[in-house]
Amino acid sequence: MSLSKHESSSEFQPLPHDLADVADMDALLQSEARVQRSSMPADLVTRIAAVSSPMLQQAGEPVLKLHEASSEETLGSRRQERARASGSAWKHRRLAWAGLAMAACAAIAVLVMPSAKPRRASDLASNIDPVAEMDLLIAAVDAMDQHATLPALGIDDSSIPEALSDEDRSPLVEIGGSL
Amino acid sequence: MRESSARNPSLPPPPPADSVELSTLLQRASKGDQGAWEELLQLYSRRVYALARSRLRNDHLAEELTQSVFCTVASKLATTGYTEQGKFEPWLFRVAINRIRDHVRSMQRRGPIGSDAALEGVAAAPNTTGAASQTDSDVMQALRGAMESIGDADRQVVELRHQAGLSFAQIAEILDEPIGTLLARHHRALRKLKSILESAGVSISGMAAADSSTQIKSARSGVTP
Repeated sequence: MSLSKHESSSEFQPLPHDLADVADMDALLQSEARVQRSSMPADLVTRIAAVSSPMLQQAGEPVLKLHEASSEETLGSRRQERARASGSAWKHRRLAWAGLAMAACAAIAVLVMPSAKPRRASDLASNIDPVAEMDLLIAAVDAMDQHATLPALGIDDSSIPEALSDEDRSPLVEIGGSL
Repeated sequence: MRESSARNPSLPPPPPADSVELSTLLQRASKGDQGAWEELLQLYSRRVYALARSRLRNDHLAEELTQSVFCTVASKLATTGYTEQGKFEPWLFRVAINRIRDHVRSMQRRGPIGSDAALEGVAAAPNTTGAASQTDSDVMQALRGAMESIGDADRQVVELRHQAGLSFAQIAEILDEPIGTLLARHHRALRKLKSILESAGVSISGMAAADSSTQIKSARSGVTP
């Protein structure tokens, strides 16, 4: 960057020779630019300096500190270092306890699960005796036909209160009759 | 000289003596020298402000943006350091135009950019007196209106050239475009502006007579960018 370039760029650039036909426009724009530049508040430089100077002051701090901050010892690596130094033993202890707890849970599950697991539909079906079911149904139908009472069906009706009517005591008969 | 220009906003800031001086200033600033940093602010803040104000048409936004740009520059200088290789101005104004673009986009999302009332009266403020000031103000307002109606690409070249005061070589570096393309675009933009002003019945010949005579002289002397 030469001296003339600085001088010309801080003021206004000379018009290239091929722009002579718009020289008046060029001059008008320069006047406009002067107006814009001169309209800057006088204290703006001071205000900008007040805000931006602290940023530059950081640059004046000792080189070693800046070097340390910007070298490989970054914030992340420092965190990892601290974690390694202070938390590694605790981490190992926690892992050991977690492992033990998981092993205990697994053992309990092995012991408890076979009895606690829900029976499947096939298991339930296998516990029903289809012949006995059918016999009971046939007896009930016969009893209905014969207006049988509960004892005739082999059902103990002694627990039924006396106040109840016969109809109440022989519901199957009633049901059968209504059927 | 720099002290007086700091107190009087109408005086343009003096340029650095040479690239060595700018390099020294930047080195000192990057090491936390507040005096050097303030000198840099004196040198460049007006141009950044003018660029921002021309595009945003709002005093407060232009101030905020100028502050933001120099905070970014200070931060970069402090953290990475800087070795002047003739790239400071393009870098500074690239930061500025990116920040302006972000502002314009965010404002477009929120609504149209309104013109600042204070800006309308700005043209009459310096170096104008009597009846001529009203004419100048009218012309300036017409010029700002015309700037709105040319395309963004053309407008950017005009603003970087005039408000930021950059050379075409620097603009080419910032926009990453061939210098010939930028020269053509600038010429076209100025012709468009002139055409718009003429069709609006605005006479610019009398207003910029002094400046244009200087420019035409330099143009005839064959100065290239």
